[in-house]
Amino acid sequence: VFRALLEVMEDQSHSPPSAEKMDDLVVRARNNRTAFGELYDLYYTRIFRHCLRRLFQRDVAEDVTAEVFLNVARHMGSFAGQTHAEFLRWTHTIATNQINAYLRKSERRARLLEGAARRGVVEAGGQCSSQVDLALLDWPHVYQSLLKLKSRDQSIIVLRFFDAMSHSEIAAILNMQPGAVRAAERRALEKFRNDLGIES
Amino acid sequence: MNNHEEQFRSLLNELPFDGSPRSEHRGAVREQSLLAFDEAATQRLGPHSPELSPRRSLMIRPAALLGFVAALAAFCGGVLALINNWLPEQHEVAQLRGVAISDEELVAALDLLVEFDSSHDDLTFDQGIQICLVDHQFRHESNEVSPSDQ
Repeated sequence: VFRALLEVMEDQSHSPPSAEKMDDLVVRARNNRTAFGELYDLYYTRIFRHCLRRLFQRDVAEDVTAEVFLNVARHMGSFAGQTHAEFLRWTHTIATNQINAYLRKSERRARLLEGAARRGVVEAGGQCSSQVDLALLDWPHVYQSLLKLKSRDQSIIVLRFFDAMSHSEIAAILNMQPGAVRAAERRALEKFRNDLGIES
Repeated sequence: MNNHEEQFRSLLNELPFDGSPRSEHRGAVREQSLLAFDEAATQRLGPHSPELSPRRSLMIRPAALLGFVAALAAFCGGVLALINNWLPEQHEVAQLRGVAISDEELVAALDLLVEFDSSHDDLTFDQGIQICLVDHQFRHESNEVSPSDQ
């Protein structure tokens, strides 16, 4: 019986909480330390991955992720949202602002680009060309093309293609209209594909 | 997302990418975040919360905003009342009018003087005095012959 009970508890700890429980957790986390800790555990990986997609280097992504969660912790008490979807949007807005602030300095962008180029050469076995064969396409090459886009367009591509967000969610994060996000995505995608050497 | 975009998305997501976080970093940031959360909660609720700036205080506290609006309204009302209630007294009006009239006479006299100067500027001082005396004599004689005498 004890083993069965342990298995049930383990199952419950691994299965994702229901939407109602998540919403409840967000509301409680405003003024409850334990609830905030749980919320952190649920969102840390997602935000870290988002930062890593945008910033390529692990140490940089870790620094920015830490900044994001410190900001979230400081302002959680005044967060007005009621649902986990609103919390996710808010957290991504903070992350996007932090990432764009980091990328605003051109020497930082150059350093990231250089790092990606170096890793790309290593992973592609010494091959380096601007036109990449699809079979040789790897993340460092994709990142180099991504970094050539405007910050706003980088955000749109990453939120849409890696975080699987809808146009309206992205619009809320970037403070744009959904139609404008759609149009910007179309243009950015064309540029991105062209740079990668993928035909539309 | 259309089929084309879906394919591109699959292609991007199938690329090898190590997005697993380091547990040490995760733990360290958790601690820092909880500490920041506690500090923010203490600042929000505790007795030693930092003083809000007047502008922020107005934005946050409805009572402060109401007080500010009331004070502003009282000030504006006071200024308006002061303007409306200040009416000059009767004797002040007469005095002001007298000043205006004497001003007008003074201006007329100055005009006459300027006119006299410009029309007689080719005369010598003695000739000018002579003309003034004749003029004065003429006015004096005219005044002596009053309408009642006629």
